[in-house]
Amino acid sequence: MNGPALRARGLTKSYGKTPVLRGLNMNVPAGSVYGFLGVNGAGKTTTFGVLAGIIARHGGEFEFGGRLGLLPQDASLYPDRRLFRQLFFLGRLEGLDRGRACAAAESCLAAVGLADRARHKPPKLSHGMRRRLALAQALLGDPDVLLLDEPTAGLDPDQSARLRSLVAGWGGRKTVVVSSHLLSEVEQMCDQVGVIHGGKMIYEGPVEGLTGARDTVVYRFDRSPPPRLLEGLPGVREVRADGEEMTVRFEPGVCSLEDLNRRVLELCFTAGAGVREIVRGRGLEAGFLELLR
Amino acid sequence: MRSRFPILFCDHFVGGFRSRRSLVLAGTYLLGFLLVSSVVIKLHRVAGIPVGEALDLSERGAPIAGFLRSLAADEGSSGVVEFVLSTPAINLSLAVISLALLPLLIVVFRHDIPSREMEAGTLRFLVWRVKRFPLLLSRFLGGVAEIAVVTLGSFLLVLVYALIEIPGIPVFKVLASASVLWVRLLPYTAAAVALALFFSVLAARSRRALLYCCLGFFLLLFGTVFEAGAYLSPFSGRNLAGLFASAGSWPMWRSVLFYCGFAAAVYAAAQARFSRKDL
Repeated sequence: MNGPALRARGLTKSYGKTPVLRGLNMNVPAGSVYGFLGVNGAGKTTTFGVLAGIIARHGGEFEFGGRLGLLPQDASLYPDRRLFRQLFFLGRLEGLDRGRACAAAESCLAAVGLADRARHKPPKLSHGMRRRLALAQALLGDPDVLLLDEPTAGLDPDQSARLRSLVAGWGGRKTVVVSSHLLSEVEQMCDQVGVIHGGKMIYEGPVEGLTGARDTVVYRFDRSPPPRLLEGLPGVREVRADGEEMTVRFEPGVCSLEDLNRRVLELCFTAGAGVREIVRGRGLEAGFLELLR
Repeated sequence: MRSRFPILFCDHFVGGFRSRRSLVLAGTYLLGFLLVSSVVIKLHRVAGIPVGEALDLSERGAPIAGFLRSLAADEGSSGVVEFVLSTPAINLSLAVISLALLPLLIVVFRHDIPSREMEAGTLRFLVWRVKRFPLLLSRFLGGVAEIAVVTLGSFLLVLVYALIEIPGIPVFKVLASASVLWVRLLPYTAAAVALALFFSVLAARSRRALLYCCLGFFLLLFGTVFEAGAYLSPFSGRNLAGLFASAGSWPMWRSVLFYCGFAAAVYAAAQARFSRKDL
């Protein structure tokens, strides 16, 4: 990773007397796909709005390492213009000359699978298609940093999967900041994650840091395992049992995951307990909820 | 960075025709004109006043002459009456109907610009690409240009109607006089567009903006009871005096300056509000 593509320091914003951002700091490494998480009302959309200049901030500063592209939440394009015309116009506003704006409009429509609808107007499109159109406008001018506010909201599973693979494909070339409530989606797409809570960043770092993929493994047994099955195993820091599930935190420097799995399987075999599933990490959702607690 | 203003301006101007807003506006304006013009022409014929020529105020037109002279006395300008008297009657009716109709049309057709864009979130696609100043300026100047084109088109169509209706009308004289009227209406148009823009930005919601604009224009008309506000009233003698005063005269320049100053002040207020608006 190079330097940060987006750096924000001490962002503050209030609506009336209600503070929404309380000194938010943000560092997004260049080339990363960054998941921006938070509960409803945490300030995700406000943060995007402040960074894009849509919402006036009350304090703090930020800088981008390149051109910006934004997919805003709940915004619609002009209903009386054809799709191609809209993107051509926005491309011109990006500073592209007529020829390049034309080419950019065509390629962006193709990128989101709307090339065959170029002559349609937005009211003739489904909600998902309008969302894709909004994504297409964010891609105009080949931005270096993309802010995507709930990009898969309203998309069907097929389109969501396509979008995820599109975003994942940008990793390394573009910096993408994705806000989403679908934590499984974020886990698939992102390599970095930031969690905002109460207007402040409470976690920022690799996804593994929150999922515990480096030092946590979850075993699911076909019946409740003996309560002290893993007691005394070298390198095991913490064991938490919950019914047929057992979450184990270990020290990677002392014990590798392969060693731990082998030892656990041996113990299970001896104790007569069958292992149904081994999952690396506790999952983003569990990590996120634990962080909020 | 190259200015995006020309792109924004052209888009807004052309967008008015694309969305048929300008065409409906022109149609309504023209309809009002035709109705009033036909009534004026009929009245002139009944009264025996020549429609195509300047007003003949010797006998039956004496009350009109009295009214105009009282305006001139208020204004302290002796050139006003002469200018009005030399203006073809049809153009006089055009001026009066313009002053009365324009604010209403602007309220109806432009109250939701840019509040509708704010409501729909359309502006969110623009403000991170361009600065807010040229964006709102394009809405203002684009609006003025739109109204100017619509009024010019309507003027010409009314004159064509007059040409058909009144054989032997002095075309060039009527046209020249109408052009002067049109040019002098521009600052008035700018003031009305700026006012609609300000209330639209203030309201940020389309329906609320309509209410604000209606109240705003009502207050303005009410304000014209007082001398300082008289220049924005379509029912004020000062206004007509400003419109018809001879070119280069103080009443004309005072009227132009007043409208332009008013438009600039209201636009600046709209810009100040818009620059801090959360979209």
